[in-house]
Amino acid sequence: MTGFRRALAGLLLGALLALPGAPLRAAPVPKDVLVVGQIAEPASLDPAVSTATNDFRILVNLYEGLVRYRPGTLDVEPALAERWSVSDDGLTYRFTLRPGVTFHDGTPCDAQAVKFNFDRMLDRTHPAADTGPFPLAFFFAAIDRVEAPDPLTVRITLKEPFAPFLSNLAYPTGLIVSPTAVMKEGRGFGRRPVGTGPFRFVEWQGSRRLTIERNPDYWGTPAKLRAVIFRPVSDPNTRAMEMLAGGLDVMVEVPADALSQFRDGDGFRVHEQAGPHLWFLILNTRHGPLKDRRVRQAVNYAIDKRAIADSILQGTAIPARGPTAPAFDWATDPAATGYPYDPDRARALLKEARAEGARLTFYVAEGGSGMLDSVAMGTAIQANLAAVGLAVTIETYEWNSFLARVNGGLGEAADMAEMAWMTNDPDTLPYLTLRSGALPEEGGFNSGYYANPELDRLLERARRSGDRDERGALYRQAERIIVEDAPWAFVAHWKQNAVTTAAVRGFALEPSFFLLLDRVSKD
Amino acid sequence: MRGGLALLRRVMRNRLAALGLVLLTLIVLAALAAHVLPLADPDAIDPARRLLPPFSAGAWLGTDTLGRDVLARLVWGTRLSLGVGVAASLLAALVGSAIGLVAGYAGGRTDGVLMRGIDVLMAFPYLLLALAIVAALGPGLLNALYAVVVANIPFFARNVRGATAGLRRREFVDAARLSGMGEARILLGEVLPNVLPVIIITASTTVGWMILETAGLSFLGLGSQPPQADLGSMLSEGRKALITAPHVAAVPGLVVFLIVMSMNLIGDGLRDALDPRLRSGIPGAPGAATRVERAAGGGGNSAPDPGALLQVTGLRTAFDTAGNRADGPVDAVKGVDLRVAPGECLGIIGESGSGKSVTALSIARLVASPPGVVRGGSVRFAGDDLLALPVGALQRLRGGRIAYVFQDPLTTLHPLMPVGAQVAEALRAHRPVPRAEADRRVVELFAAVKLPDPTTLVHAHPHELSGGQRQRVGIAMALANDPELIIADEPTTALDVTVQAEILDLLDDLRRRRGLAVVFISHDFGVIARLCDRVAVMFQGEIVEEGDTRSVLTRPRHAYTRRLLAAVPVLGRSRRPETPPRGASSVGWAVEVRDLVKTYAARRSLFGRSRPAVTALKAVSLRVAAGETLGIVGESGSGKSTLARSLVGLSRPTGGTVRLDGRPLAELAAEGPRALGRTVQYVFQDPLSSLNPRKTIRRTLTAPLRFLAGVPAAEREGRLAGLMRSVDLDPAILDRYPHELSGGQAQRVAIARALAAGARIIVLDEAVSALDVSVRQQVLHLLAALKERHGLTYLFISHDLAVVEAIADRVVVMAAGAIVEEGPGDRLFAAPEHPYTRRLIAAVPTLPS
Amino acid sequence: MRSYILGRLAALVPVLFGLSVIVFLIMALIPGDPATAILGPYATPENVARLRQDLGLDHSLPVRYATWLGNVLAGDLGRSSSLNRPVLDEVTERFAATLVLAGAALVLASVLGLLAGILSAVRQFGLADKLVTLAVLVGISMPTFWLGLLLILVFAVRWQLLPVSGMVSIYGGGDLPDLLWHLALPAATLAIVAAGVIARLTRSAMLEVLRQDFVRTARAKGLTERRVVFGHALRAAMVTVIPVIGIQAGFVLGGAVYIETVFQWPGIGRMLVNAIATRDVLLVQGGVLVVAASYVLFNLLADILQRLLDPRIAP
Repeated sequence: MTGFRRALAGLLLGALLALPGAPLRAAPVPKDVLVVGQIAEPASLDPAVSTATNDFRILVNLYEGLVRYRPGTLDVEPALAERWSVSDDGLTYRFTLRPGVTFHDGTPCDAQAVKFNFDRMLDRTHPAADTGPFPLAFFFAAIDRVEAPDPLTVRITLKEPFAPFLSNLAYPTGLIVSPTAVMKEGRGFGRRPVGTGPFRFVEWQGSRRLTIERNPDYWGTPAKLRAVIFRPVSDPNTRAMEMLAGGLDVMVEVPADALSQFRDGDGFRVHEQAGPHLWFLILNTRHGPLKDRRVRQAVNYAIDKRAIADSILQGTAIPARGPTAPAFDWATDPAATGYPYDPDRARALLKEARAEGARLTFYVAEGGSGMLDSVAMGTAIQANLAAVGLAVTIETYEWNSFLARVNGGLGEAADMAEMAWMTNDPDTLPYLTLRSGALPEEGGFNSGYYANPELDRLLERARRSGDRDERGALYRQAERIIVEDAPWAFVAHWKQNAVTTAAVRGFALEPSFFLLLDRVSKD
Repeated sequence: MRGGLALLRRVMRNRLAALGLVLLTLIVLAALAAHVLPLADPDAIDPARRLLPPFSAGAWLGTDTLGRDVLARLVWGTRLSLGVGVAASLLAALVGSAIGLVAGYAGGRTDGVLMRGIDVLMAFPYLLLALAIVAALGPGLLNALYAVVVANIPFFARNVRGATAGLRRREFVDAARLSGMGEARILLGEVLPNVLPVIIITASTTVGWMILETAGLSFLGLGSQPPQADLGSMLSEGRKALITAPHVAAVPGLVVFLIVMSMNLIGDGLRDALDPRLRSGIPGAPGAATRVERAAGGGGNSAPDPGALLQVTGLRTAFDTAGNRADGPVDAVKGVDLRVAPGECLGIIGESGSGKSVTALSIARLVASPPGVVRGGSVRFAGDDLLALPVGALQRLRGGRIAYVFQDPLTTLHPLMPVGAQVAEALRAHRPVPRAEADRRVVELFAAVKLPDPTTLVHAHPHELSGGQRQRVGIAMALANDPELIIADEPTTALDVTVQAEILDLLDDLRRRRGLAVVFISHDFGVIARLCDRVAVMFQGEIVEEGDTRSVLTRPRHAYTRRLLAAVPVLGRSRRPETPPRGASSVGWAVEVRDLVKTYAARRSLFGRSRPAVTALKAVSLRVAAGETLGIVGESGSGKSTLARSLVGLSRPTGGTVRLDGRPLAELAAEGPRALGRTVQYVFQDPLSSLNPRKTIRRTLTAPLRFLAGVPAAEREGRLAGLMRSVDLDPAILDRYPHELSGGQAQRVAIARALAAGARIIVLDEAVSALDVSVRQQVLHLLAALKERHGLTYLFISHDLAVVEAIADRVVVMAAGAIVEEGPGDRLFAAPEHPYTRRLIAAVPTLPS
Repeated sequence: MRSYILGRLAALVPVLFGLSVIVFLIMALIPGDPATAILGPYATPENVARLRQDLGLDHSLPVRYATWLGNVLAGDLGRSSSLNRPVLDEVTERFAATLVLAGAALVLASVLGLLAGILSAVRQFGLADKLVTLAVLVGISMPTFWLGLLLILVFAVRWQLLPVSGMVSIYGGGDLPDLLWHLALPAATLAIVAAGVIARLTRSAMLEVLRQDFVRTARAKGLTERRVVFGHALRAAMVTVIPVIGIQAGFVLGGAVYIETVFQWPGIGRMLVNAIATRDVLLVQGGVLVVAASYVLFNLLADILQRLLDPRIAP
């Protein structure tokens, strides 16, 4: 009897001990290796293929473009091209390449290689054209031809003047890849990247980790870190807890509510940086109550943007006053007030438009790139609108269903939809989403059917102008029209954040949302 | 309604279930009262007051990430989640159970196809389904619920199918078919009520999962639409603030936990309450030895008898169950005294419930305990008081010096162990012999109990042996350690007569050769007479008479013994004057069977390995005149039951014809259950399995009246009462359930059902075999009276020759699927012609006259 | 037995076929396709048309299905559109991770569940029984993903005893102890419900069996109580417990999705969720087929085990 009891007890105890019986900890991460907590598994490491900020954070360390954003700004500076010149008509760009640069696989980075990169995206008959898709190839749609008159000279001729061209070149889509590697790997190149950057690719273990290491043959100052490990931790809570537990050195996109933990805690440093981002509501200007401009304005007045930015997003965003992000300081009017929170004004406008008690259908996204805390924000907006007497019904959709519904135009099904864009030039957003030539039936993203010939003219003029001051003036003019017509409800600009351990040195966030790690070190 | 209240009472008796019920009721009440409770607006946001901790002013449970009142959202969210959980469970239960019922009941290909479909569902990612449904129907909790429902259908379908398949072959289903019920009606009216507990319990456990799973869908925006709260979306919203404000997620998590827990508690309670075996409280797992609770000085109040091997004095054993806890345990054995000398055989005889088995098991304290408890007396074995021994010492005695042989060897041998190993284990438990040595001993023992081919048989499993072989294994096990005393508890009751005779001879032989003392328990005087020196007669827990076997049987002193002896039909004592069979001249043959063949086809499976064909009936022909009683005698495997079932269409013969009242059975069957059921009826051996345990007697008896006789509802009450009286039952018991009846009462109900539609031909398949001697006699009298009154024709099937002799006009003897002899009862038993018949009659134990 | 196994395996074919057809249809039905998923907000009609052509989405549904089926029969599960790698590679890798997690959870659940069930049956109504019953009740009522978060918070963040997430250490890990160290929390979380179910069933099966006649026979033979409980009663009870362990295997596989998300376990459940979100038809197909096949095989394994244990069931 006692033997039986002892046997049972022994077995139970053994089973319990078998668990934590394992060793307490694996080897610690050495000082010259940085572990970065990413928000997801990268989709592709081919810069021509990728569209996700999450991927860009890795790409910019592996590759370089002809030009790049000067750290801390959105202005361009030389990178692979030592210098460049633009013809007076704004049609021909002539780049002089930095000599002696090679890709990680030894292929020289010469003019032919650069030409290969653009031809691959733009020429359907190019041998590497099937290594796509190249969703952002339209960034370079203005290119007529790319020529390589000698190994260090690249001449790009545009079909028409296109002011954002240099900025687009600095965007990840303009990063230069090794032609040899692309031809060898084909579609697999996205998983075996070869560039010229300060780091080179080591290995990618699906959904576990992606490792890059210092490029010993880098033409510039070598990276301080021996290696960087990117860990996809898609659940924001788990990511925060992993950071708290010491499993990460750097964590990006800290959930708003976890931020205070790191602010208060010792041993962590919070980094913040506003960028060219806009979170807005597309309003249906073709069907339903929002056809009336007064109702659209009322919606703008009714939303308490300050509360959303400060409370719900815990200061990880700033209230928006109009369509242009403050990061483009030269293209926006600092004195403009936009729509301050004014429910009384909203009620008055609604009364005037006889739209009191109107029923609105509101598409809310579940997550999605740049969408911030979309459901909570949508719910708050719903409550704000209810306060001024608008009955809003929310329909939430998972991101891809959401896009499928919104991109084709809101039609008669919905009155409002959430949306967010991150751009590198003040041209991109209004050009793609507010022009009459960008209506969904024309293949654009103008899902709310806003059309204003004067705005169309302003945008065309601005993108052809080679003078930034002139462009700035034009964009400020466009901004006034857009704010006045209120085709959107302008809600917030994201201030991206990251947390590092106190040991991480030389870390800074970029307005471009990139993550440059070559200057980073660990104590 | 009455049933519901009774059920509720039974559930509430379980303290934990009551707790669950109270908890759930509170939660449900709070949820239902959401609009009258003084709650804040659950949707009103206040970003400035977000994530307030619990017990803040104006927000008892704090506020969430948008500054909404958690308490208000909790109450409203619980309301929604409970509704959704219950609705989803009901829907899944409905669809899943329907599939399970049909699959389990239909069997075969339908079953295969349905269950493969269930496999597909089970392996299907329901997330995908949820997305598709939301795409088609739009987002919302109700639409997402369909996906959860589909995901849970397999769970119900599997459970219900299992339960249904188990019921499909039950006798009460056959009985319902004979009562004229159609398949759909049987499925819904007979099978479903028995499966219902499974469905209810499954449903009660799934409600919680449903809430959790819809919570899971809320992660993907497939749940409730903002601002509406449900527990799932509250959980996932709260998760975002988990580190800084854990209460936002903890509160809904806790409520989900409480709901699921209370559902589980209630489910457990329901399961126990719905299990008829647990009606009178939950019996515990029996311990190693019966509990002994002797009052001070209760043991050993008589001097030890040095000449006795076993001396039982004043033994009192009781059953302590929840049902009788109020008035204290009731003694099943009320002060029994026994004495067995070395080498002596003592018989204990009595009817069921007399306490004879409890007495036998009390000796080595093998009465299941709980609920059994020995309350007094002493059991001295070779001087030691077994009731005072520690368990270890008792274990050394058991199987060592005292060995047992039990009644039904199929259930008393471990079904999954080779029989040789089971015997070897008995050896090794007492002597540390090497395995090989033990195995050799086992072969010797098997040879000693005359098992054929012992070296092969040791590797066989119990189900591969015949009943006689299994009992020999049981005896071999008892002999393993050369015991001084064997206690045999009805060791031959489940066996055929000829096998019984062999086993008795074996026991007698072993006892004499090895000088064993035997305590032999039986209800059969003949068996006792054959084996025992002395006999003790037990009645209601007491020994009413004891003495030398011969003198007790020939000159019983106690009135009970006399009554018992009188009730036993003894072969050759009840010969009746021959009544010439009323021939076919006037009414025609009531039953005419010609060349009936039943072959179970060889089964060839797709990938080789086949089963050879089995012939159960080999061209059997017989005729029964109207008003005649034909006895059919045979041992197990003789084909008598197959024959009986073929007569009522429960078994489809492979060849030959059956005519009932001159009409071919096939023709009757083609007309539907009605025509057949009005012509012929069937009474099964075990009334408890042929009566639906979940239907009242009234409903059981109404079926044939309604479906066969077409009695209008208004007249049924009168007919029911008449029917009850005709089988000598009080109409007051119409509203009872079968388990509330005694065996005799239940069998009378079964007979009443057979009579209800006015069928004149009744097939009685071992209809009195399960009854005690005295009850059996009453039922036999009843059958005779009914026959007289209604002019019935009986086909009386039995293995008991004496009973057949007592009731049958004419007898056929069957062996191995064929009729070996046929003739008028008195002639056949007096002068059997066929050697098999002779052997059969010789094997029947007789009483000394 | 062999014919039985072959028969059951043969039945797997129509199951997988039916499943693949349904999955294909549903993936075609839900809004958004791989093209919009890859292109995201930049899904201009031109881009979409080109990508659809690249991915072969411009063919009709039956043609696409037939092509897929043909490739599968030739052993090629296709190429994932979202991950840009062969489906087979991804599925094998992820499934292996899930098997490790689910397997560990199932072993843990079976051991704990059986022991707890036996303990509480043998000590029915005793203190041990009450404790086990309570623990089991709490276990089966616990929302697992919620429990997982709590465990992380306590064991990994507060006490820093165990890792927060992942399958092996991010740097220099990968040996067996490292894997076990990472397995502890997710496997325990995943096991808790299954352990409860198994414990409950073991308890009731043991109680049922302990009342059987053959247990009395075993006692009458003079066997020790340990032998009676483990040698006789448990052996018979296992016949009813094993199929339930088989069904639990299915639930553990299914429940792995949440656990994999919370603990960032690189398993197939999370892969399927991502694949559905990115409308990666071929990856979904591959994943579903593997999960379904393994599910059916698990049950087959349980049935075979039951048949081996119980000679009464005809092979």
